[in-house]
Amino acid sequence: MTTSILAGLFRVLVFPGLLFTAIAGMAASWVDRKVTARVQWRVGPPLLQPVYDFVKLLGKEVIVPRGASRVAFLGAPLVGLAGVTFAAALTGSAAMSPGAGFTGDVVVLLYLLVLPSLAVIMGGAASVNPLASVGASREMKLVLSYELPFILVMLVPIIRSGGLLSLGELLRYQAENGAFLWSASGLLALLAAIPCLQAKLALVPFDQAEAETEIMGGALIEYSGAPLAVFRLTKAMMLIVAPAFLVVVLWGGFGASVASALFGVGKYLVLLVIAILVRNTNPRVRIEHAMRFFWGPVTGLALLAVVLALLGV
Amino acid sequence: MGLALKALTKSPWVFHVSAGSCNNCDIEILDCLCPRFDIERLGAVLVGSVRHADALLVTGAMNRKAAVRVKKLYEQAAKPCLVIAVGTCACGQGIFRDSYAMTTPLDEVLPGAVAAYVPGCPPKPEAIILGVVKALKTLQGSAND
Amino acid sequence: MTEDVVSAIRERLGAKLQDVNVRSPRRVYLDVRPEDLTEVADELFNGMGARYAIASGMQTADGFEVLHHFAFDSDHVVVSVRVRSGPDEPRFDSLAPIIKGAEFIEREMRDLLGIEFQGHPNPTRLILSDDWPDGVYPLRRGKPWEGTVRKEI
Repeated sequence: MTTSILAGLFRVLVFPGLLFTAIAGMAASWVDRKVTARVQWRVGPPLLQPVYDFVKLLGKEVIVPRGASRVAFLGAPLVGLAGVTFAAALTGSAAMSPGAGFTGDVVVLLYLLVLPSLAVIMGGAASVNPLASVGASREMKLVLSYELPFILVMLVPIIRSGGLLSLGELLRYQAENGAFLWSASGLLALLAAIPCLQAKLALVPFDQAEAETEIMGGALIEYSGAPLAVFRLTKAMMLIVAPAFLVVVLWGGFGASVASALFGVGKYLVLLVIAILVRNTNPRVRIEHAMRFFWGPVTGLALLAVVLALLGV
Repeated sequence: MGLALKALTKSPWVFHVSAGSCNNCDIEILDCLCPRFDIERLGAVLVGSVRHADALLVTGAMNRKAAVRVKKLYEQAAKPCLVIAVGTCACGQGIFRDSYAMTTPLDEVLPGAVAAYVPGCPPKPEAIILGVVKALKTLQGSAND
Repeated sequence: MTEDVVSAIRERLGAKLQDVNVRSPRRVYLDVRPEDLTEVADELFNGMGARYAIASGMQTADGFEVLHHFAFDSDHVVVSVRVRSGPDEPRFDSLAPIIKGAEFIEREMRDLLGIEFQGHPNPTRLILSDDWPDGVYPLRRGKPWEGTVRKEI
């Protein structure tokens, strides 16, 4: 009993949970900054830059705005960190040992992956600042708009596998019958999921909540020091968890052998590079345009994918 | 604290404050972030909120309206925060010293806070980068204590 | 061209103009009595379709002057309408009711030179800082702010 609790704690806190995803997330965020710099014909930061940023922020003064609720202001980043940590632990465990999942963990993961955005909304609303409120309201609108096609995309593997709701079982199904991606419905699902991924990672063209040039940091304008470090760490960890989740659910996961695990990492890198390149070649869109985009073409594509999945294609 | 201070010298996030400048220095500061000079190599990033800033790059000759706001901005920045005076106007008000609209120079508006002065009208981006590096070295002096 | 603009102006406004000075092909100066300023400006702006560019104010040896600059872009001419006043209490009619673009520049002239514009819809401080004392006009001759304004904020 105690060994399974310890094993659970290890999975959540060390591997594939907090420690592993934090380090991998910082590496992914460095890749993002370096590729962005190179695309702009610049040199870019050194490899350990995200670590320097994190450690530096831990040493800065923490200022809570007057009139803000201390609990909400200081607790919001922890909510986001908890969400992404548990999401990482669940996804990683299912990917490594498909039998370890439990029924319904796809649904749980959908909830957990919303928590970082919810944390930004909470933090922005708790800062007594009009620009932070604008950022929080934009993030709310964004979440409302991209969650719809994202959930529809999640329906595709569930329908095609005949109603399996566990990550482990979905992986086993894909191991036997081929990844969902190699079917018409799966392909359309991934295409619809990519803009949702961009919005979940808060990358341009969907980073309205934290638009730094426009609303001066947006929802995070009042944050400094350790809470800001936690928000940034959560964002870096999402760079690992969200594409990995898509790989597990739609692209066959990471597999059991070393070769297929490396292949899985390659699949993850494809999604990451797509996200980075989209980020570097697009301007930030207005929030109304983003909402119209998600509720229009992206939902249409996702609906088409669901219909095709129901038809068995 | 020593470790965090060392990390700060490797990741100075800059916030740009114009206290009534003619914008030449502001353009040169933007040049520092562009491909030719690229201070992101040093870890510097332009941040949108003053609470995220480690270094305030102050340009402009401190006219009466701006000086009040510069003081408020410095108080809002999360310490430790360096102030770097960019341009002759920020260093000592230059040719505008006797104008009706001027208050005291930057180092009297923020006594003891200015870590580096970068004279020039406008200073070249290389000079601004050198100023930032020298300001960070003053921090490193205290990190080695 | 310039001659067409000048002759059109003389035709419409001849009686109101004290003097027409064609300084160069692109610059024409009209001297006008302060009472006729609004009519002349109205004719140039609404009647002849000129673009209101800016105004400038000055303290001269004899008093104060305000010039309103109207641009006839297609004819490449800028026509300046000058009104003068004596050295005490300069007061002119405001063009802001007929030309919205004149609002801010007249507030600036009021702040810096102390020229009153009668009929201005919003005669409040524009560019001097909030802690600047009333009645001290920086752009008047003789550095009037010395001794009355503290340097420190």
